[in-house]
Amino acid sequence: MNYQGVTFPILLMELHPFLQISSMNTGDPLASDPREGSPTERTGLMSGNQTSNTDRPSYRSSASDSPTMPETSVNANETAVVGDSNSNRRSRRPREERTRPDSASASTGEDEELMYGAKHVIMLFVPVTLCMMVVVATMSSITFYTQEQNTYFVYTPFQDQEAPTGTKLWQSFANAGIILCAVIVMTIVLLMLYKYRCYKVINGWLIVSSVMMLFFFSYMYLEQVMRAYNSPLDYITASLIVWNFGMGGLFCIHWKGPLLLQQAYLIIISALVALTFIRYLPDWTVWTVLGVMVVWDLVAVLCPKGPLRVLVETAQSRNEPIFPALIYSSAMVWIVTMADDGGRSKKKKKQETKDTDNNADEEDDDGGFKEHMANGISGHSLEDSVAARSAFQALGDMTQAQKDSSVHSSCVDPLSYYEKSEPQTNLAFSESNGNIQDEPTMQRQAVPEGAVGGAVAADESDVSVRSAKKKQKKRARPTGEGASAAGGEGEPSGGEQQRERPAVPGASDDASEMEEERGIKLGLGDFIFYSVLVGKASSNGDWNTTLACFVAILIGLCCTLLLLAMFRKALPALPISLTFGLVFNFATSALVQPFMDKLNSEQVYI
Amino acid sequence: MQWNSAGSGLMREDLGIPVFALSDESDVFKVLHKCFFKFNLREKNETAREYPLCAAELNTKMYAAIDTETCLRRSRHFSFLGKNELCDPMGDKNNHVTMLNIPQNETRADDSVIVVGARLDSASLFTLEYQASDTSVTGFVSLLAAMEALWKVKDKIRKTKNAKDIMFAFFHGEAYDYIGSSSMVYSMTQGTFPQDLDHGLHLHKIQLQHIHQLVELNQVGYRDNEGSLWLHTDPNNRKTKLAQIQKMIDGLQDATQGLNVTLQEADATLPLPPASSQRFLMEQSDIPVVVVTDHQTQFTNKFYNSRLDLPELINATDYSPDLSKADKYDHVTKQAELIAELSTALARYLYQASTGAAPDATTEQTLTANSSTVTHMLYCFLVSPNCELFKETVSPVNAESLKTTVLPYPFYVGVYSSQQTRELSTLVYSLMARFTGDKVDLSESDCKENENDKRYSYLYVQGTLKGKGQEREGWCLKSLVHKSDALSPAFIIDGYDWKSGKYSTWTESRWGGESDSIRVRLFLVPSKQLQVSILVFGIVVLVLSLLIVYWCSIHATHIFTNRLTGSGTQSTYSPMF
Amino acid sequence: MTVMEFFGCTFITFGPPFALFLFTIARDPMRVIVLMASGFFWLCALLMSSIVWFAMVPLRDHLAFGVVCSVLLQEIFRFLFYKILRKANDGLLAVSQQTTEQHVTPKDFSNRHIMAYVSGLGFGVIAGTFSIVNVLADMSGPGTIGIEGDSKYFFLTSACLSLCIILLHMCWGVIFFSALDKKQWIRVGMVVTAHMLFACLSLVNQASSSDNSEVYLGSLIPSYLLLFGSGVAAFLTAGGSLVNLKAALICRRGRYEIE
Repeated sequence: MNYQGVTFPILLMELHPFLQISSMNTGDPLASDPREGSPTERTGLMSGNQTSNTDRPSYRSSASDSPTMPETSVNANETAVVGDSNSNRRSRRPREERTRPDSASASTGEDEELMYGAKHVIMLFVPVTLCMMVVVATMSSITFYTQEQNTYFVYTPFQDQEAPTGTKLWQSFANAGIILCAVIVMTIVLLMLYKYRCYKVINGWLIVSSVMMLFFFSYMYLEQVMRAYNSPLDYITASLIVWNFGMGGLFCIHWKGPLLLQQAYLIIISALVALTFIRYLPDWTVWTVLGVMVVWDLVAVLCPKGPLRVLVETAQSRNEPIFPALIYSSAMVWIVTMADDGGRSKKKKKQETKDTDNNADEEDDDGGFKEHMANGISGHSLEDSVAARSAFQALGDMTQAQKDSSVHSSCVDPLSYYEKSEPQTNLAFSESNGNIQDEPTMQRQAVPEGAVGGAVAADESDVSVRSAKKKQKKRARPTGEGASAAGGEGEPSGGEQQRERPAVPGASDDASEMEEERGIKLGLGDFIFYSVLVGKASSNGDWNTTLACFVAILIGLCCTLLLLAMFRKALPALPISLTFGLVFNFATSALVQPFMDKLNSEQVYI
Repeated sequence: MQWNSAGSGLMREDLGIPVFALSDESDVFKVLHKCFFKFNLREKNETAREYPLCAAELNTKMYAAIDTETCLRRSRHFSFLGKNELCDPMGDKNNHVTMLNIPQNETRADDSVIVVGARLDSASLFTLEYQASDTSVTGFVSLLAAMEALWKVKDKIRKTKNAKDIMFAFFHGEAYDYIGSSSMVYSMTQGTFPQDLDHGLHLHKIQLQHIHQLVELNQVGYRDNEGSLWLHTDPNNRKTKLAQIQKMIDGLQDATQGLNVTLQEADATLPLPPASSQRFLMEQSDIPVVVVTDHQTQFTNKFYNSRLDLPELINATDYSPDLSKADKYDHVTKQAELIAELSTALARYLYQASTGAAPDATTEQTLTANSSTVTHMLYCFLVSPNCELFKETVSPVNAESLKTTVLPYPFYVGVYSSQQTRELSTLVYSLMARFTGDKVDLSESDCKENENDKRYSYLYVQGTLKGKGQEREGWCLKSLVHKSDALSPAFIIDGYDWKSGKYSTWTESRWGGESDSIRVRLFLVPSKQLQVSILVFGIVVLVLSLLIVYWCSIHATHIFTNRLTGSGTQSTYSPMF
Repeated sequence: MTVMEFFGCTFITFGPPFALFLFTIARDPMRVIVLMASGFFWLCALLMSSIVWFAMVPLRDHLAFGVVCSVLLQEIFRFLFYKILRKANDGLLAVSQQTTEQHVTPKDFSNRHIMAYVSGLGFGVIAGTFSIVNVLADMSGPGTIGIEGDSKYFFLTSACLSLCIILLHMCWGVIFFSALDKKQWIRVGMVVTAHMLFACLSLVNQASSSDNSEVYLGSLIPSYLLLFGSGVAAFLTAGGSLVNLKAALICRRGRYEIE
């Protein structure tokens, strides 16, 4: 099957497993210089955060409005545009913000990180669980993915089903070795491309792989679902469905779209890839591959020269987000709320943001796309909470400005202008689309961007909110630039911001809504391998094993996050979870299952 | 003319429900005693049994739908998983052997080949549920026995000048609209029969005009009371070739002299019964054709193409009860005797028809079919393939699977595969090679086709036991036996009109994979009442618990307050404790 | 099991825990995590007891041995979990949301009890799920049990007993943790005894058959009595009282707020 050869390299793109928690750190203490290291500590949680502060010195320097300085050539144009438009706005923001008390920020900095841990764990639990559920449901209802077959990946040349155990064992290791080599090669290629700034190649690669997965795999999936339920579907309808689904996914992942939708697409993609792995890898090889990936993940992320680590560091040093299509960013919960809030926020803000409207409109037209492009290649992370904040505001304004217009429309111009720079510490990777531009001045422009960037933006927004509450006055100045990437997120952020504003002065209206969150990023590779493990565990028909694996993986994830909080550096997300999962899979199916079967059939409860 | 009035056409009926045959005794026991008698059987005065009742779920998932044209079209559809095959054409391999060895660079005169044919297969309603004792086995076993007899005098025939060639042909897939014969006829018209080779020495092609006459053995097991067989001819055929046909009939009848077999000419106005010859006549109506069957008008076999076409019914297993397995194998049954007589007659006729002269006394003596070979073949094909004859005749490669086989090999043609041949065809091929081939002194690895001389095929078989040990001699058989594809031309011709009905278009649907496999599940069905009450109870529990918990969570402050304040653990708020 | 039976039994077993999860746990991430963690501990306990059961080859057919071992191991792991929870107090405190009080009810429900309750529920949910999920899955087809002579109430009792053990674990969690806090070893012993009692009661079920369905009553009724007793004990432990309950029943919302 030819296509396998094609798909796999592409798949590999999705396989970089590492956990990035971007925004664990909320506002820094007012530390004047983000560079000076305070931010990094906080950011520690986020393994891969690009946003590391070190690079940003430029931002801080002055509060002046000077138009953004493009760090990366790509963004320059856009940012400039934005900057101009937004300039009006600056005035507004500062007033509001200044009202807030500064005091809180400094002391709470570290605590806040931890405090948000639990919430973030859940924010990863939910998508991981969803992804696993999709896989397990498919595995148990669609026989296509479970039945024995004779076609395998070209990467697994050894597939003797009849061989004695010893042979199978070395064959599975050989297969896993080949796959691992392929993964390594792909990772290094990616790294090289990234290092030498071949963004277009990478983007093209990512898009091609997305196309493959969104169209081909989903078609395959649809076909199998239809077959499993014996329901005929004509090709026209099928192609319509697949086309719409796929195009929607492409837009959401690579351009802009509601964060929720983007997350859903990423989850679905992970599930599809996991299913494909389960289907096309020989039985034993799956387990070996999982084991090998654990080691690889450790090496790649923790070794000083590990490719993933280098990748992350490079991205950080460039202040760019890592490829959006490879990383899931959390923020689901509040996204929903944000969307809801959008309406409200508009009303409230109307008065406030009048001035911004103009800007917003202007930006809207072209901004979205350009910015998107920018993001895709190198989204700028919003570094500062401030920036995030500005993004929020921008959104808020935007929403007002264009009531009907897409929420997503990327550019909101409102600039939040703050005089004091907030250290942007936390978002390590801000995958956020928002570009961080180094402006000599302190201003940063956050434009909420659609797809990937959204998450980051959101995260920051939270940060910003907090910072706003606790900290000093800031000016939020919406700039086109930052926002470029994340239209989708922008909304939510906007919503929150609005809420916040009322809260700041007085009592918060909705306690629940008040929650602010920072996003966590988890590589899609982690999703995939978790799901492969659980799916494979479910293929033997014992639900106890599936359940045990599920619990073990989630607990492993918890532990990883705990370690993340302790070590504050990029950590591989696979090792603990997969080790737990593997141990519990084999232990349960070999030891626990006979015991439980006996108990169940005798109706004995323990 | 309806030949098979006993037939009900059940096999072609669309029943709309799956139908399973349980042939395993323990399965039947389960259905009856664990399920039916225990839960469903009504007492005489009982109106209905109470729930739970026993039910069965039959699962047969077939992927193909509508008709061959549709399913083949769908099978060709591009899919990301490669071809998504829904059905496969039916077919297998025909076997044939010629008496004379005429390479392509010599000439083969028109009307110089006597074709003797029989069908190999039978239809089958249930997978692995088959018996084709009379439908096909009697016919092709007779033919094989005749072949063996005839090849004893092959040198005489070959030495005779202008002797006509004799071709024995075994058609596969005849139960499904003559797949084998139409395939052979088609390749004859295309000039690709028997071998389609461009280079090297190979057999001269045989085309329809080369065929001098055609004798076909049909069902010959159920002889009527007089014990006679009938020679059928085609009325149209008679019009053009009456003289030759008459000559054939006379020759056949003459050949039976002194034998316990009578051949009577069937009513000349009767059409030709269903037979492979029809395909030859369809393409070229002036080939003289005689079909030998055991009936004149109606089939005497009531179980034509049926799984009830059992060997018992044709006296092919008339063993006395105390016979051991080995004795059964060697026991010459009544049917075997009858078939041997017929084969002898056929061999004599063929000798005479080929050489143009009646065999002399010694030759006639030699030209006798061996009734013990016949009975061995009947035993092996109908009772157990795990028999000495087959063991001797299979290649070492197949010996393993033969060892574990208990039931007779299926007579169902199955789906065509260019790579594989079904057991039935393989065994017939091997027997042909054994009966007609010469043992040459080649080792197993050298026993293969000669690149320069492709006229001969080489087959390595296990051979007889060496002494008393388990080791076998191993024979390399060099013969003129060849296989040819039995695949309906409908699947070969480009742009064949599927609606034309000219060729067989049978395909077999793919079945589900492992998990969709064919299965029957027995289970109890609970009464609706019980089900509904459980469901309602469940919903009540759910709703109640939702309400109660909600109420409690709202009032928790109140319910648990007192202690709380008293406990003093709360001096500082702690989310954990 | 037919679809209706399937859903009926699912609702019976998982309805109350679902409600508890929905209203008391889901909104606090910390509680969800503790729930998962306690489930994990139960899994470890099960794994240990399986190993013991597996290793004792001669006793493999005597479930009673495995059951006793398992009960003891579960209680040991419950104790370990308690220890870890208390140890991790500070860390967890930091990790959990401070804003909890704003949106999670019951708010001032003693927090110690809350975590005890959550971990008890975690034990219960995973135990109940393990005991019922394969039964549900095995028979989610068109038929029901009984062709081999089993009672037709097999599923119903399985579901009810699973529910019972979920709730029992919840109650035991509260009692156990509080007893450990106050060093009331007797109450700890009571929990272990109750657990043992329940497990041994369920051994009775082996005797059930299609002709002998009433055997179930022999385990169901005592089990639910036990549940009632444990529930009351847990309720009192957690600071509830009849008076409070009455007050809560009588009171309307308005009055609360005054308080």
